[in-house]
Amino acid sequence: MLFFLLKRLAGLVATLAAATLVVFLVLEVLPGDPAQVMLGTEARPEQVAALRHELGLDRPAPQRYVAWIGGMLRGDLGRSYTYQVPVAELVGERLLVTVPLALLAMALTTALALGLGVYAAAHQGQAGDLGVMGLTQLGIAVPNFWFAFLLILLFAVHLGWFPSGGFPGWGAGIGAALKALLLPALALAVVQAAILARITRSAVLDILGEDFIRTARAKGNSRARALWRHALRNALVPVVTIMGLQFASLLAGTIIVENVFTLPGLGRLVFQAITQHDLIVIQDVVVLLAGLVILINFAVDLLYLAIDPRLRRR
Amino acid sequence: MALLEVEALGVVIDSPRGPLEILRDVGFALESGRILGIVGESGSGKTMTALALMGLLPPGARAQGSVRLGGRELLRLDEHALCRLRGDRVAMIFQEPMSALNPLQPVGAQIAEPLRLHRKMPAAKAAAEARRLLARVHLPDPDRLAAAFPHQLSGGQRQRVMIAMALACGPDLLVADEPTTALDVTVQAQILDLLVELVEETGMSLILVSHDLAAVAETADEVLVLYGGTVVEHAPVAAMLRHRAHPYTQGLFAARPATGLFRAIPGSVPDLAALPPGCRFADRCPLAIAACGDGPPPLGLVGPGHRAACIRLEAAAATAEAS
Repeated sequence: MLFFLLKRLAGLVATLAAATLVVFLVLEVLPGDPAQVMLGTEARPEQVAALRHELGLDRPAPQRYVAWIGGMLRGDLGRSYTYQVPVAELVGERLLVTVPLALLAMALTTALALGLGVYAAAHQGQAGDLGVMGLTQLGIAVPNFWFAFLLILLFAVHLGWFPSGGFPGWGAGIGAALKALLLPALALAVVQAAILARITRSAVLDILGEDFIRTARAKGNSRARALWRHALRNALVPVVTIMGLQFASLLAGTIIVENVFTLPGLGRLVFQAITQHDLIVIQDVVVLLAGLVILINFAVDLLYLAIDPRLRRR
Repeated sequence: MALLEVEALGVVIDSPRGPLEILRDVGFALESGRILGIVGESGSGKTMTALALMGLLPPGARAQGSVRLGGRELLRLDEHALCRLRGDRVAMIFQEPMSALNPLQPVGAQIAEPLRLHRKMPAAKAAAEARRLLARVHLPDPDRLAAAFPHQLSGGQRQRVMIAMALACGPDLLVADEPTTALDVTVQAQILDLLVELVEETGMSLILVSHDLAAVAETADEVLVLYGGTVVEHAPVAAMLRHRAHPYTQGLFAARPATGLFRAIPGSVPDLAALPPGCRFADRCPLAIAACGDGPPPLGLVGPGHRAACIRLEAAAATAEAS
């Protein structure tokens, strides 16, 4: 088990290193001089040269890569050109919006998907099952930005229960902050929950056909109890796998949803950085997002171990 | 009154082509402390009979007739009452002990579960009882084993765990569906010995479902031979060993490798979707005549407690005599 963990940990570091290299190389081979891109076509050559020097672009690429990685390891992410503040500072406040948003969305996804999926599996072929399947079909078909607008219309404009956008900051109290995050999280969660509910349903149905469920019934477990006590945990392995993948697309989804709800998060930062050609911010945030996804995958591996004792001996 | 009385038990499955009678008119009685072997090829209805007794038929299948346990009609019980009965008064063990155990739970917890369910035993007490049950099925080092997961045990150990689980509440009836089929030959004998020992110790009744005639002959008190979902012969083991009345049973014994000469029964088990109206064995039977197709042959008395469903019993007796 220790070996398994060490192996996964080594894989985690290697993947992260590879991600930084890819991000660096992509921006390297991209046509156009970053300094020129940042300053626009109207800039004078000496301005461009000055910025090149300021950004360290006049140094050889390997040296710049090492400097970038070294800086990141020390917590120095460089300076944003457009905001004129350290990227670490910029990203730090954004993370406090995006990470809670993604976690809240994932929690909603899990709750909705497990509830609906297990319910549908338990009522296979009946009206409830068909209803859930139809609902999830709809959930998968609807793009999350459109769902975001629907949510704003209903809960913010008509009912006025939630703010239509913006973020008061955690200083305004946990309640107010969560209230601002709930609609965006729901918009993010709907598509993922629809997918995950279907996965959950079929995983549970697979397990319900297993011999040990018949054993559980032969021991006197009711259908429902056999499902909760014996089927659910066995069905979790495929469900957790998908959840890990979904977290990645959730983070990507924040770019759109944060813009719809005008939340000062990482996604909005990336979007702004891209429109303003702030390459240093893009570089750092992309690596940060990749790091988050890799961390989630590691957490998924740990969950496997917690769920299935058969994996622990490897 | 016998512990278990089964009368005219049938199982019907709904299919797109209408209801299929996959089990028809099965009847027997079983006293406490006795062992009944149910023998037949795959598809003969042995497992369906076992599942019907447990009220665990697959979706779409329904049982007809009567199954009385201690005088109580099981086929009319609702699901809630059946749940209270299963694992308490009637228990079942299955063919494949690997897949029949929950891979994610320690075996001790799985053995303790019926006690927690039916006896409302506190966790610690049920765990201690589980360890005692592990010792009772002759598993070494119960304390260590109780914490083990199924994948850490051998096939024989897993089947012993299944038996310990079935024994937990001291059932009146244990239904064992091919309990040794998936095991090594040496382990098979040990498991059968254990089952016989437990029947003698506890006085419970055992239904041993098997395609292994030798195993049944050594273990059971009486034998029920099924073919195509019907009873073809029912006899005390000793009588059956002396004389096989039904042509199918004769074929089954001749097909045993142990007899030295291996003679397969020609043809295969009937298609459940196209069951003949008469004797279901007729198309494979060397003695079949036109009248065999007219209707289901009645179970006729051959000797004390020995019945066979065949209208050609005399011809069958003659061929048995000759061979």
